[in-house]
Amino acid sequence: MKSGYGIATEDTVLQSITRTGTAFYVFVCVLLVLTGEFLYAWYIQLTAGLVVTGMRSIYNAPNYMGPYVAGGSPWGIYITNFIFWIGISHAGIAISASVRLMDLKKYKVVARMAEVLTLVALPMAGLSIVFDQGRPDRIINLLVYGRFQSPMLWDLTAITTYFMGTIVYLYLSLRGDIDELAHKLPGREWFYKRLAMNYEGTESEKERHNRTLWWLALAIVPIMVTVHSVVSFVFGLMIARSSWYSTIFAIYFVVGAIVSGVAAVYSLAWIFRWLYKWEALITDDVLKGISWALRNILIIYIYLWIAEELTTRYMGASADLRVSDYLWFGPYAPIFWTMAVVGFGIPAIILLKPIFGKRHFNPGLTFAASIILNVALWVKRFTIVVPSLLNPPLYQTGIYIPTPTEISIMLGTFWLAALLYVAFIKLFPIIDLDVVKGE
Amino acid sequence: MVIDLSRCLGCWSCAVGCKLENDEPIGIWWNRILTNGGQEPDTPSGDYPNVKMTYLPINCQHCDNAPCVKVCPVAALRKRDDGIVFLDWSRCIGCRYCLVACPYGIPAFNWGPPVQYPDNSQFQIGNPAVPVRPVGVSEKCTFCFQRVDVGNLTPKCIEVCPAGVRFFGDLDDPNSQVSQIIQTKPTVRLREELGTEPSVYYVPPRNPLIKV
Amino acid sequence: MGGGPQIFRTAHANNCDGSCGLSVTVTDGNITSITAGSFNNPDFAARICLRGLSQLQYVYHPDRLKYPLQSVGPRGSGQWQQISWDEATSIIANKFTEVAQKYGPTAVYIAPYTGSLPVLNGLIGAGYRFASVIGASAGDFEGDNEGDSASPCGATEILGSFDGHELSDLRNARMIILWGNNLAETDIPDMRFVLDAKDGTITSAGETTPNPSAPGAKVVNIDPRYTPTAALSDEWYSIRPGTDGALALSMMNVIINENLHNPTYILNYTVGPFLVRQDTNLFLREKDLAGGTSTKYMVYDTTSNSVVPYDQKGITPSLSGSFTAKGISVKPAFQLLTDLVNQYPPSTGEKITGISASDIQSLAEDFATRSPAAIKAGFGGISHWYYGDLTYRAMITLSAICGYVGVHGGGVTTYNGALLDAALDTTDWLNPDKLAYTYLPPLSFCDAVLEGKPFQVKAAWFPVDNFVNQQGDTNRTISALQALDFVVVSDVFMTPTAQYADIVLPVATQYEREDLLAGGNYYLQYMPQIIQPMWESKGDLDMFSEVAQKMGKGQYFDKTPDDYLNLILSGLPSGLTLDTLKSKGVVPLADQDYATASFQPITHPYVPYYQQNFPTTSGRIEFYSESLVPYNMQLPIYNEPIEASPTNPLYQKYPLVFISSHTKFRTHTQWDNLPWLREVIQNPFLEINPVDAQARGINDGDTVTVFNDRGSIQVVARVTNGIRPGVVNSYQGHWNNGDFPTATVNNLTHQKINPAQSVVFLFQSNTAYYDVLVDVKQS
Repeated sequence: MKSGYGIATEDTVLQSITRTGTAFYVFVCVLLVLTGEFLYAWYIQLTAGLVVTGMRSIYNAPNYMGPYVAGGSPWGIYITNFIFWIGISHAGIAISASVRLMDLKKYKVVARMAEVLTLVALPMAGLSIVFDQGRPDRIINLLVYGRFQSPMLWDLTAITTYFMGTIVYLYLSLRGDIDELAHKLPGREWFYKRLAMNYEGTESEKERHNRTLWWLALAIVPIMVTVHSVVSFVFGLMIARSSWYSTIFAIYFVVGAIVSGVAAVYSLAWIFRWLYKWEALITDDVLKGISWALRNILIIYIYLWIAEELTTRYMGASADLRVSDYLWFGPYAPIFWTMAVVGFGIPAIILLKPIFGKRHFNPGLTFAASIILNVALWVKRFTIVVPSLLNPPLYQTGIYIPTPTEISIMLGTFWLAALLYVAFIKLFPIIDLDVVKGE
Repeated sequence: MVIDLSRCLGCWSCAVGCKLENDEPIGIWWNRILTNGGQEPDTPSGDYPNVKMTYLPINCQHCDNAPCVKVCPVAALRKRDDGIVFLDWSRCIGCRYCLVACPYGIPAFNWGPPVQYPDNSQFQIGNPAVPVRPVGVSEKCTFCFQRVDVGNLTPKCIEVCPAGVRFFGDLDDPNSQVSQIIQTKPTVRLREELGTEPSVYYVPPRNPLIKV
Repeated sequence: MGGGPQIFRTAHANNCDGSCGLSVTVTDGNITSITAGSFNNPDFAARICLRGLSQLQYVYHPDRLKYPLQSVGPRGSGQWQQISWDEATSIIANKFTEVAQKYGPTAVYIAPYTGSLPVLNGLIGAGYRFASVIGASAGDFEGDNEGDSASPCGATEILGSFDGHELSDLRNARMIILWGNNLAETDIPDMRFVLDAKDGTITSAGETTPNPSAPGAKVVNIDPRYTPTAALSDEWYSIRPGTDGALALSMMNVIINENLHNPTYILNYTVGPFLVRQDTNLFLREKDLAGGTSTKYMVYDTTSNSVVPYDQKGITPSLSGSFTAKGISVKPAFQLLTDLVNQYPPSTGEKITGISASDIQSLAEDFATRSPAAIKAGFGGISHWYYGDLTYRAMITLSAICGYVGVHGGGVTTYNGALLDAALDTTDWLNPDKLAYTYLPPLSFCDAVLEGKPFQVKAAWFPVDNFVNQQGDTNRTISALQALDFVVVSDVFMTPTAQYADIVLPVATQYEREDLLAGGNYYLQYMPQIIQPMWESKGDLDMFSEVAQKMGKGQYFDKTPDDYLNLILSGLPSGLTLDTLKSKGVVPLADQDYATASFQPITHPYVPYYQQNFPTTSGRIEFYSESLVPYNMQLPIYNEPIEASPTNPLYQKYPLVFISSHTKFRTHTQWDNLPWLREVIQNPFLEINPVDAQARGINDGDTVTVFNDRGSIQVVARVTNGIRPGVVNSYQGHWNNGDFPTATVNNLTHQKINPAQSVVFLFQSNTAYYDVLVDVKQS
């Protein structure tokens, strides 16, 4: 592959597997230490129960939690984390679908890193849910007694299907590369040969793969939309809760997820480009294109957000207003406004500037924007989940402050995700080798 | 069930009786008394001396169209034929969706290992037919299924209300005490506009300070 | 054990007018459940409240005293060593003997009080018997350290006794004034009758039926606080605390001037027509005019225009006017009353009480025209004042001039059940062989210890009594205890009083021993032993028996509890035996038993003085009382509170009236540490009006100091519109422990005794808990 930065070959791509410096080992050690801390925190929670978190029931007796009749929020950062990871998981299909279905070959270079992200994100979402259960030892009940009336079962089904689909998709697209690696890295031949499962590498086989992948991509797109829609239905169908019961939730969540996903892909693309000096592969053009998509979808998201706020605040008379006031002027107000102005405002500005001329595109700044955006989106989901639960009709406003143990456990998903991702990078090419073969 | 708010003293006897009968742990109340008045319990709203206060005892409404039953992913919450919404503590996985879905904020959750006083290690208090709940499950009012099923007794809260505020019976039987009250007095149900069809009817409080 | 759960019927014998029955379930020797006990009377169904239901936590509380303890450090330091019962009782016996030899037997003071009300182990119990046989001094159960004797004193002065209507009688009323009374918190099971009166129904557990014979009542609440009782009343009037007497006088002003009173009743059943000498202020007697010995009262007959004996036939006595008889200027007592109330027109009533003149007018008119109208007074609001006796007399006078005393649906009731105490003849039980303790009112205890008046006290035993917490002026009380040679406290918990003891004895709760309750309603309730005494605890009877034995008085304590119960019941004319009582569990007092105690035949529901026979000197309602002439209180005049008044110079320094009402989450100091109740009642708080709070920069939830010259407390501020400006309230009964070590309200109260109360021996001292001034600041 030629670009302004020189010629990229297969070896360039395989650097990610072969080149392992001290920085890498330090990075992995740090991750392992953090993961150890997370495991310890989880152990505490498993033995002592969810009381180690800041979550509490809606109602508490007047003198139980202090001098006020105020309860807490039964859901907190675990559920927020769950929604976040589901959002991130939209990375894979957003890119792969574009590449395969719309034949945007330019972006094939980032397709695999996106799919791996999905593969890692979905189990993290599931793990977040496991953290949140009062009786994780009874998780099997979901399968034995699962009832389809419940939006949680829709979640379970959709996410499992999505996961299965992604694994198959990834494997099929990876198979050729695995076979290639069997030759290129003789030291690990036994591993790759087994994994390739008698891949012959014939044209007809490749053709079959591509066709399957095309249809799979087509099938997974609606699944992707379904996944985040059913996640939204967990909230949006609840008549009991002010500011949740809203028709806009399904599309609001899906659009938000796509923003998350695309921003995550941009982040990854930029990181790998910087880490392995892959300017030749992940060109400015590719980055520009991703940021363009991000900008457009962000605009749609902000538009939906404005519609939500206007609906709540215009008449100034609804129960939803109590929640909105709590968010705008209550204890979380600093978080909310920072998220809005810094978390969304700054990325929006960065992303919008290139409209006024391509020279305004700065890959590094856009990378910062993509990271800030995902953090902001994490906070945004928090502001959706918790304030409504803290402002129950019939009772007074509650308090929710996540505890250090809770935060450690929640962050554990990030360390684990990083470890899994790093493991993948060291085993398989993070860029589809077809790219460098000029296909 | 019918609760007569024009008579309720806010004395918590029903709530404590319930706590005793079902051996509820510290921090969990299936039956609570809310003060409809000032910010603090037992204080009125309004400016002195034009103040007002009433009490609202609230427990599970055993809705006919119960949101909690709909959302429970493992069907631990089920509606019985006699109308009681029952929570199967042996099946609950502790996801707290019922806490989130209930418009009345009813279900309570065992965040930590339940602590009872007197502690259960030596003997269980209350009704032995009610199992002790473990950590990590939700719990809520059961209309005392253990008393209703055996011997057709009323729930404990009805039995111990000292002021004649609470009534219990078959809503489908037009001659039962509860049906009589509903027919003769104006009753309301909580958040009726949501369509949950609660089984608890409230006789509204009289407006105090109206000179007769 | 085994064999499934057993159910026992007992009574809840704590200091509460409810006197509920409890149905206790015991499984394998443990109490596992409680519900209301049956009285075989649908009116008394579901007679229980949150406190009765929490009793499990009381019996099985981990903090219960388990063994006798001896103090090994300075008093109050909390250092104890465990000793055996034998050692403990020996020490007590020796110490008491020593003190008696040095200072006289009355230097030993036994003070059983209202922690538990049954006859053997509680209020009227073994402690007094013990005091009698060793010749000690004792507080008296009718006497006072709870502010509850001003009203009985006043009632005795005007009616001859302290008695009350059975509260189901409220259903017969057309108007009910809940005066200084928070029935919805302090006597929860009886609130049902007020609600039934309002609704015109009869309700029992889960059942309600219309009551066709009920006239339906208007319910009015008079209280400086807006309580749950006020919330359920038709009208609430906020009154300046301590001015209820003025309100009564003002209402009488309206009633008399608008001719709404009942002259026939006044003529026939009160001292209204009796002529009073203006020179001596005593009643004019026949012998004053005719010589001789006849002490007959005289009236002015308008038919013959002459002064004649009151019992002469065919006369029409006058209720008003001014006359001369043999040169003595006389007026009918009712004229004097009229002169008094004329000083309190509604405009003056408004100035004093803060209730508007038009409200006083309509309240008075309502009271007089909605016949019959009942007054249910509270011990707290009326009796916790220095001049509570005057207030109560004024209220009874108000009821009397409308003709409501001794009629169904009328009367002035504070406590129903006094009769039952009187019906049981406990003389042989409390005074065996005619031995008697010397009465020392609890309120005089500090004087006796610190100043030797009326005599020196040097040792004390406090059973059934959290004296340090509940006596007025805690600091003075503690210094008195410190000045004693020897202190014994027997209790269930290490209370603030037990902290100051030399010996602490663990008491068995009422469920762990047999007893009998004659409490706040007209039922005798047998209390069986339900479980074994926990650890080494013992009942009071056993404790006193052991000490008496060691002091050589064992012969007075050598019978079984059943023997003593039989002795106590033996005085009942109906011949009720203990065996019958045991088999039935609860027995209503038989008519003939009532009759003996109240001197007349009985009506149901019970109404005292039903035949208008009053055990006064004159046999009539003595709103004019000769015995109070030395104090110038022969009429129910109004005096400003002794301390809590703007006329008091102290008011400049401490402008807030401090009252300390009862909460539904405790019975005085009991149940303060029960976890269920603690989950609901918050930190000790001070109710304060927003106006007062703002003036002091206090916000809801701030920790504040409430202080005066006697002491201070630290509590959390609760800013509420439910209390009158210029008044603050903190619930009484909180122990000094935990997060709020100085929250006992009695740090602020005093021990002033009203000398006028000495005219009634039984009720001669009263703690004026509410007659207190304080100020509040941020801390």
